[in-house]
Amino acid sequence: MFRIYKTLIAQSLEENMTYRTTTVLTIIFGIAFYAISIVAGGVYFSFAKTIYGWQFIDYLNLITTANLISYMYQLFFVVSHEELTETILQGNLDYSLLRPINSYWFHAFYRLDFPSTITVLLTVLVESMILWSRQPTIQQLILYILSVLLGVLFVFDINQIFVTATFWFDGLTSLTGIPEDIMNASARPSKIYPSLVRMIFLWFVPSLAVTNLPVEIIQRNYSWGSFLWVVAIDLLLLRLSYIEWQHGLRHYVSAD
Amino acid sequence: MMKYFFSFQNSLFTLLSYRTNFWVRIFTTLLSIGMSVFMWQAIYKFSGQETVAGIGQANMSLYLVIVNILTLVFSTEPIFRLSALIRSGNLSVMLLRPVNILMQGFFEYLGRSFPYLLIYMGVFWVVKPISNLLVGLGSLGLFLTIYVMFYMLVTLMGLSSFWLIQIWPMQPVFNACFFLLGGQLFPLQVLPKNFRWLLYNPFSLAGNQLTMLSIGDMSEEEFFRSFLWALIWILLLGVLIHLFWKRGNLRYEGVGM
Repeated sequence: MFRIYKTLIAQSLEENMTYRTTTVLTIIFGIAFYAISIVAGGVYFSFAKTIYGWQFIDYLNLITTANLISYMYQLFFVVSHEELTETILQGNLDYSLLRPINSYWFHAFYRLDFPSTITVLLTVLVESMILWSRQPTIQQLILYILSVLLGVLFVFDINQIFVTATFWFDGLTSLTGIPEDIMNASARPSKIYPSLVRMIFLWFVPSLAVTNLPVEIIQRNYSWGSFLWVVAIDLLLLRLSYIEWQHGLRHYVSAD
Repeated sequence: MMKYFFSFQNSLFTLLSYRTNFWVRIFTTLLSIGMSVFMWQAIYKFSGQETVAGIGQANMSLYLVIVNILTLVFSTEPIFRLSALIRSGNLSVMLLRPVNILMQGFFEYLGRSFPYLLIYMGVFWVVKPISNLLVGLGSLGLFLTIYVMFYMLVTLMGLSSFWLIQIWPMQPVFNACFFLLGGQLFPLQVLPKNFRWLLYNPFSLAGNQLTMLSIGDMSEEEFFRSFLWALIWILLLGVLIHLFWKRGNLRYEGVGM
C-alpha cells in the first residue's frame, strides 16, 4: 500500500515540477489571501480591543488555524478531488476499478499538491509563534494538533461527498466550491453569529466547531462534549461518503 | 445596433439557463454578506461607539450588503472570454465579422450582469428613493461611467492573453483587489487619513464609492471627484487598450496555442 502511495507522490512531484509557474503563482495567492485576512483582523480590532472575549491574538490564531486546515487539505486532497470529478464525468474510472486496490482510497490519495507544502510550513511557523506566546500545556498542545487533524478530515469528508455526487449530477461543478465557501465563512469567532446559525454550524454541519475548537483549546475554554462531537461527525461523514461511493459505483456506466 | 442587442440577449439567456450556477453565486454572496455583517455588528457592540469612521451601524450593514451585490455586477467574465478567443484562434472568426469586438463584448458583459443590476437597482431604490431628478440623473451618470470604466479594465486584463500563457491567476488577483482595494471587506473610509488616496482606484470606484453613493453617504465633493477619476481612468485605459490591441494583433497568429 505504501509502495503505491510512494509512486503516486513521485508522480505528483514530477507534475508539479513541470508546471513551475503555476506552482509559484499558487503559493503567492495562497499567502496573499491569508495576509488579507490578517489585515482585515487588524482593522477589526483597531475599533474594539476585545470581541466576545477574543483578542487580536485569538483572532490571529483562528485564521492561522483555519488556513492551516485548508492548506493541509489542499496539500493532501485537493488535486485528487479535482481529478476525480473529471475522471467520473469522462468515464475513465474503469482503469482504477480493474486494479486490485480499494478505489475509494486510491482516488482520495491520488495526487499531492506540492506547492501547498510551502503554505503549510508558513502557517505552521506563524502558529508556532502564536502558541509560543500562549504557553499551552502538553495536553492542550496534543488536543490542538488532534483538533487540526479533525478539521482536515472534516473538510475532506464534505468535499468527498460533493465530488462523489458527480456520479448522479453532471452540472455539479459549480457546487464543488460550496465547501470552500462554507469553510471561509467559518473562519470567524462563532459567537458573532446569531444562535440559529451557530447551532447549525456547530452541531449539524460543524464547520464553525472545526475552526473554533482549536482556538478554544488554547484559550482553555473548550468542552470535551464539542471535541467528541466533532470526532463523531467526522467519522459519520467519512462512513457516509464511503457508502455514497459504493452506491455511485453501482450507478456508474463508464460512458461520458 | 440590433446586432449588439442579440449579444446582450444571448449572454443574458446563457446566464439564466445555467440556473445552478446563478443560485450558487447568490448563495456564496449571501454567505459573504452574512460573515461581514455579523462581524461588524460585533465590532460595534464591543467598540462602545455609535459610529465607526462616521458610519453608523445600520449604514455599515447596508454598505456590506450593497458592496457584495456589486461584486456580482462587476464580474471577470470578459477576461476569460477574450482569453478563450485568443488562445483558441477563434478571434479570427470574430475579426471577420462586421462588428466591433470590444463593443460586442460590452453588450455581452451587460447581459451577464443584467439580473444582478436589477437586484442592485432594486436595493438602491429601497434604500435611497430618489426624490430629486438632478440627483437621480447624476447618480445614473456616475454609475454608467464607472460601469464602462470597469468593463475597460477587465478588457485590458483579458487582452494580456496575447502574451500570457496562463490567464487563471487573473481571478484571484481580481478577487484580492476587490476585497482590499474595492472595499468588499470594509469601507476604505475606516482606514487612517493617509490612505484616503486609495478611494479613487478603479476597484474602489466600482465597489466602495458606488456603495457610498447608494447609501447616500457621499458628499458633493466626493461625487465630483469620483466622476473625474472615473473619466481619467477611462482615458488611460482607452489608450492602453488601443496599444494592447494593436501590438497584440501583430503577435496574434490565429492558429491557437
